[in-house]
This record gives sequence, C-alpha cells and structure tokens, in this order.
Amino acid sequence: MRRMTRTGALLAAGTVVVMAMTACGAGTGGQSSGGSLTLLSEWTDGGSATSIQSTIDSWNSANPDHKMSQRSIGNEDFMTASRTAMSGSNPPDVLQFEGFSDTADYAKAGKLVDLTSWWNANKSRFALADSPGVTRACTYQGKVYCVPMSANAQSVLFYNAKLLSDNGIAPPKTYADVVAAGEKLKAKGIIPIALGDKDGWPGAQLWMTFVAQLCGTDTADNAVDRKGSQWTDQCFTQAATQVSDLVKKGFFPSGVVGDDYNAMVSLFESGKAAFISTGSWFIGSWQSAPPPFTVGAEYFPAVAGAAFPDDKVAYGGDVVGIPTGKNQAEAMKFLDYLTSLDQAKVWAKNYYFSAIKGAVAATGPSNIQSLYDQTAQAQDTLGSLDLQLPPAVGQDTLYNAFQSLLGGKSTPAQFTAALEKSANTAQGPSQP
Amino acid sequence: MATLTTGAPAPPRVAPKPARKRRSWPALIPFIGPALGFYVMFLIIPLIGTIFLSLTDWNGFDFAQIHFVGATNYTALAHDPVFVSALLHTLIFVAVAMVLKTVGSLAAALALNERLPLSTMFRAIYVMPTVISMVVIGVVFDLALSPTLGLLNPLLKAIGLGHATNGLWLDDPHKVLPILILVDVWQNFGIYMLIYISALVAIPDELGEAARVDGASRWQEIRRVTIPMLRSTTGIVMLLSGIDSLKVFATVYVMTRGGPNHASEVLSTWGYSQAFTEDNVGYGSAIMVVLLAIAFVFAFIWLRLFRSKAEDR
Repeated sequence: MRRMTRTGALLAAGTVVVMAMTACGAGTGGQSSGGSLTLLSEWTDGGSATSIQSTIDSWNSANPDHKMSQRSIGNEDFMTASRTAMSGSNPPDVLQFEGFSDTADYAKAGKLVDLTSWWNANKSRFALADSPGVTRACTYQGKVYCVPMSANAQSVLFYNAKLLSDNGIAPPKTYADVVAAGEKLKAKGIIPIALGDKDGWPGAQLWMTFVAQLCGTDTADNAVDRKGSQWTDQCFTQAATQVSDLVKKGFFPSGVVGDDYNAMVSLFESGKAAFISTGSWFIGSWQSAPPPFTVGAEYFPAVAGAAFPDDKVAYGGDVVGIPTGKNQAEAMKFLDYLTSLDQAKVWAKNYYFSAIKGAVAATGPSNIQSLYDQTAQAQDTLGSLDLQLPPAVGQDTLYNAFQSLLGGKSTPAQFTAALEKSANTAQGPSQP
Repeated sequence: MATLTTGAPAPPRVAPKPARKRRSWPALIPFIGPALGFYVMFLIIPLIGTIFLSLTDWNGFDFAQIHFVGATNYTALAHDPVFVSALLHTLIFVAVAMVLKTVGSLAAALALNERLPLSTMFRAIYVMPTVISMVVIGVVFDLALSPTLGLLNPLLKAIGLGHATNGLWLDDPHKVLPILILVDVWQNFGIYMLIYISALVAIPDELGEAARVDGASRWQEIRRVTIPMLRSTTGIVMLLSGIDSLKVFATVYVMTRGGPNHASEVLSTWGYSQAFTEDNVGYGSAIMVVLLAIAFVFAFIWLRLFRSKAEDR
C-alpha cells in the first residue's frame, strides 16, 4: 500500500509537471501560430473606437488568413501599458501611440520598424506632413518610425453657445473677450472654464497654448532640446503667469486638481461651465454622445502682445508604428490599409480629425471643417511638450509642478524653476 | 485528600511519545510541489529579479541597454525628495491605519459579540467592503469626493455643514492622506473584526462568569479579562493590517495618482511611477526593495515582540 502511494505520488507529481509544461507550450504555440495580427491602441471610445472597429472588420473580411484583433486601453493608463507591452518579448504587430519621447525610446531600443522609405513614398497624402509637430513626433536620428493618424489641434476653446447667448455674451474673438466673458459668467455663478487636472495633462496643455503664443515653436523646441533656451526664460514664466492669473480670477472650478478630464467634460456638457479648453479629440466623443447644445469652437485666442499669435499646439496626436516582430510584412499592409483615403473617410465621418488629406472634406461633419482646415494649414505647430520631454520631466515634474501652480501652492517662477531643474537633471544643462 | 507515600516519589507517568511517522520527500511532492512551484515562480524569482534590477540602470525596453550600477540607485534615494516624502507618507499611513483598523475592528467585534438585534446584518455590512475590488472602491470614493460633481459637498450643504469645510477633499494636500487612510481602514477593518469575533468565541465563558461573580462590571470584564485574552490575536491583527497598509497601491493610484503634487505619494505608487511611467526600472526596483525591507523588518520585530510577550505569560 505504502509503495503504491509513493508511486502514485510520483505519478501525480509527474502529471502536474507535464501538465504545466503542456500548458506553457500550448500558450506559446497559440500566440505564434495562425498568422493573426494584433493592434494595441487607446481608441477606446467615441468616433475613434467606432472607426477602428469598422476598419478591422473590413480588413478581416478581405484578409481571412491574417485577421486583426485589437486591444484598446483608456488614455489614463495607456502610456504605461504600451511601454510595458513594447518592452516585452511579444509586442503588438501594430501600435497606436502618441509619438515623441516614446518614439525615441522605442527606436533606440530597436523596437520599431524604420518607416522612412514608406513615409517618403506616401507622405504627400498626409496633412501637416512637414510640420515641426508631426516631424518631431515620429523622427529619431533622422529616420521616421511612425506616421500620423490624426491632425489634432490641441489649443481649442470650445464654448456653450446657448449659455453665452443666454447671458448676453458674444462668442469671443480675442483673449480680452475671453476674460470679459469669464468675469461676467463668474458674477452670475457660472464656472467660466471647465478644467480638471488630476492627471496633469489638461492643465499643462493650457500652459502650452500660452507657450506657443508667447515663446513660439522654435524657442519651445529649443528648450526641449536643451539648445539655447531654458524653461526659466521669461516667456515660459509669462505663459505660466497667464494661467496663474486665470486661477486668481476664479475662472476654474474649485478643486481643479482633484477632478480629471472626464469630470471637466461633464462640467461643460452639463452646462455648469461655459468654456472648455482642450484638443480637437473632444469632438470625437460627439458621435456617440453629442452635447445637448450647440458647441462653438475656435483656436484659443492669442493674448495681447503675443509675439507668435499664430503658432499653435498641434501635432499628429495619434501616430501609428510597426513594432519589430514576426508579422512585419502583413503589418505594413495593414498600415497601408489603415491610412488609405477610403478608410480615412470612414474615420472622418465619425468626427475624427484624420491626417489623410481630403478625408474630412469628403465626409467630415460640416461643423468641424473650419477648425480642421485651420489645423491642417498651420505652419508653425508645436508638439505637445509633455510628450516631447523625457517622462521624468514631462509627465512627472511638469504635471506635478503645474498642479501646485493651479492649486495656488507655488508661483509661476517656482513652476518654471522646477521644470528647468528637472530637465537639467534628466537631460543635462542647456547648451548655448 | 491525603496521599500515602512510601520511599522516593514515583516518577510522573508520561505517556510514551508516539513515534513520528517519517515521510519521504517524493511522497510529499504532490502536496507541496504545486504551491512551492507557484511560490518560487511568482514570488521568489521575481523577488530576486527585482533585487538584481535595483542594481542596474535598466530603462525597461531592451536588455542590451542594461548596465550594472551597484548601489547608485540606493544612494540616489537619499537625494530624492519625492522618495523621502513617499517614505514618510507610507510610515504615517501604516501607523495610523494599523491603529485605527485594530481599535475599530476590536470595538466592532466586542459590540457585535453581544448578540444584539441585527448584529448578524451589521457583521455582513462591515465585511462587505473587503470583498469589493479596491479599484471599484477608489473610483466610487473619487466620484463621491469630487468637489464639482461629487455627492459629499451637496450632502454636507443639505444638512447645514457646508460652511464647515472648504469643499476640497482629494485636491487639498492637507486632507488627501487622511482621506486615503480612512478609505483603507473602512475597506479592510471588517476582516479583522471577523478574526476578533472568532477569538472572542474561543474565550471560555467561565472566565467572564468568574469575573462577574467577583463583582466586575461589564467594562471591567472587557478590560481585565477579554482584552488580555485577545493579546495574541491583537498581535496578528496588527501585523496583518500593518502589512496590508504597507502594500496599499490601487486605491491611492485610482483616487489621486499620488497627487496633488505628490501629497499622497507612497512608496508603492512612486516605485510604480518610476518603473513604468518614467522608464527607470532600476530606480523603481530599488524603491520596491526598500518597501520589501520595511515589510520584513516590520514583520520580524512584530513577531519577536509578540512571541516574547506570549512566552512571558
């Protein structure tokens, strides 16, 4: 009996080991066989989610041997999730991300396919193809590693047309109009500008809007590159002062650093706030959840005396790259398909600011045409600074120091000093 | 009763100790093998990996870019003001949450052990938060505490307490950490309450009866009999609740991301942020090793402390 028990135990142990090995083998085999493609994106809702599903469905119908499956992750956690996916041994075949420092990190590690030839052959199809924003989003050491999907504008001032009209306020054309409207709205108990900066980037983007107007694209890019400009330069501090002044005027909701982007959108769409300053991606949500009032949209008006009133924070926004892996050839075919005019028209119809020329004009809703045209024709476009800077500077110091500024806990000079100190540590001193 | 003895006292009769059955290792493998395998694969190996990575400058993308940097990451910790404040926040979090969870769970257990009406329902209510996902709890509290869209401010206003606060909660650097501690206590104290209730049931009724016969009031009975009898349970509750709070991550990450401006940063969120957001896997690993060392030291001291007290008794 004892002998049998021991033998049985050994058999059981062996079975467990074999089962474990078999399970591992099956998992690995399952991922590598079948020839299917995978896409990782942050297209979780609104027009982009509808559009990518449509594109994948039509691709899968036409390519039954190389079907695409996707995994999408919400914006708040996407940066971390995509970096983790790219650092592993099984990256997606197609990656949508936001470019800039991620492009550099992935390219430096040999994780992205060099798309320079593809880009040179196809870039005439793209709006903003030669703009500094798009170029810096996708280029590393002179080579192109991603292509723009969207031509988003970042510095847009959306307004509740009915709320303004009900309070006798005309849509603002200048920055002075915005300030005057804010004073009037605040006196009536209405929040002038919806803002929720818990995640750091919505507030930072407002600062970038003023940076583009006051410093210009070249100066800001030089500060990013640590070439001749520092974050403590007067124009950067002045841009922070513009935001600080809005805080002092009480234009933002109380608890501005406790609420997130979704909360600030809710404030605007519920009619509690008259303005919201964010990017054109906000329009993408209108396809599934249109605001219950007419929304006006203009580029954020330039402050009086701004040296670069026409410089705009605009960039590719969503970019697509091909991670190095086993399905590169099929992934490249999917990239061709995804960026074709036919597919871009589907995306534009769903309120997406497609980077493919002619798509928005062909199928885009009429109320986004004007804003899109202004973006697509912009020359001096500033890439989002938080994404351009190394994460330790752009997504830690910039976000946190700006929260402190918005919360009234620090001054504009302290904000830019913190940013400069962090950049100095991460990137080294700015060279003349 | 008298006992007659003759000569030397007989040695006490001790029952012969049954011979312990010797088990051979191969026979034990099916029993301990799977658990040991998981333990080694998902705890020991990652642990060794984390300690190794803490000695490198790995950015998390490519092992070709990994360099051994010795103790550089550990010396850098001392010069990192966010790490220092995160360490302080973690220690405050653990100390306060541990005391509140222990006292709260003991009080609730004593009250619900009185067999009052609805005590079974209240047990279920107090335990319920423990089975809810920490992420869900974080999201719910985050929404409830929103100064613009939340429920708390209108509620306070409705009952006439609106003027008592400035309406800021998670966005107030002075309030954010206490709020996170209270959420952690609220979520977890129910399970410790159950541990105390189990221990209370095991206390012989005769002890309480003897105290009452000697004229002890109910409060004196609790203070002089019940609580001393719960000493070893209290040690376990404090140890588990302390380690529980040391590991806090999900609620902090969901509710505040460690903000505003690092006001609620704890070691786990700062380590995560460094490793996965800022691409400093080496530095993030060093932070996690510090957290691990604190947990080990805490557990070691606590177990020694309570073991020696138990031996004293």
